[in-house]
Amino acid sequence: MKEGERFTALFEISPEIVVAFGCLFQDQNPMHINDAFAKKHGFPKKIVYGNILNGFLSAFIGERLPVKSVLIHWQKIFYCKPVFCGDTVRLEATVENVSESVGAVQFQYRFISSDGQVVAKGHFQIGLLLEK
Amino acid sequence: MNQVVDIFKDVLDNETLAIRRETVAADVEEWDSLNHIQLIVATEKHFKIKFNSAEIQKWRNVGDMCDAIAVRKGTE
Repeated sequence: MKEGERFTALFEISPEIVVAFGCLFQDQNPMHINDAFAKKHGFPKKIVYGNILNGFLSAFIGERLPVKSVLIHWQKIFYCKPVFCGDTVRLEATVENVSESVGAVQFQYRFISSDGQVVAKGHFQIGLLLEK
Repeated sequence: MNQVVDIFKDVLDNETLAIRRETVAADVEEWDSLNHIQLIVATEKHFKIKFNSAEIQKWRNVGDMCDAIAVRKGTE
């Protein structure tokens, strides 16, 4: 991986993922499961748990990058716009720094909705692991 | 040295850190393996230099790290 190199992946936010996330992490906040409640707060319908995007980020790092021997050092995410059940988001991640001396690669990333809006963005750093 | 100390304070999130040339990882509670990576990355970014893995494995203390920075920056 070299500085400036970009990787992308598509993720669909299916109803099954949303329901499973709420059950797994015991988050039944009405903003995520009740359309009427979300409408009362200015949204067109219930909004997706923001951390589902972090789950996609994990899948991206674990399975979509050209190396599998990686772990996450840290990640930051800023939520720009809500996403909704049934949306498809495109993750674009660009290598912004490589520290070969310690096997660390930092990325800048964006989640982009199907209508071209940036719904979340941030940075993460991974470590490239050596076999022992 | 002062800039390196500031990097250590920032990365290790400890404003009261006392870092000297003789300091080693065992002297600093927060200086674990993950923070070691962050220290190197932050130092490379701050000074706009790149180390290699062979040289950092030879460092015995903070002083050796400062010397390597000076060599890279041509200020030795």
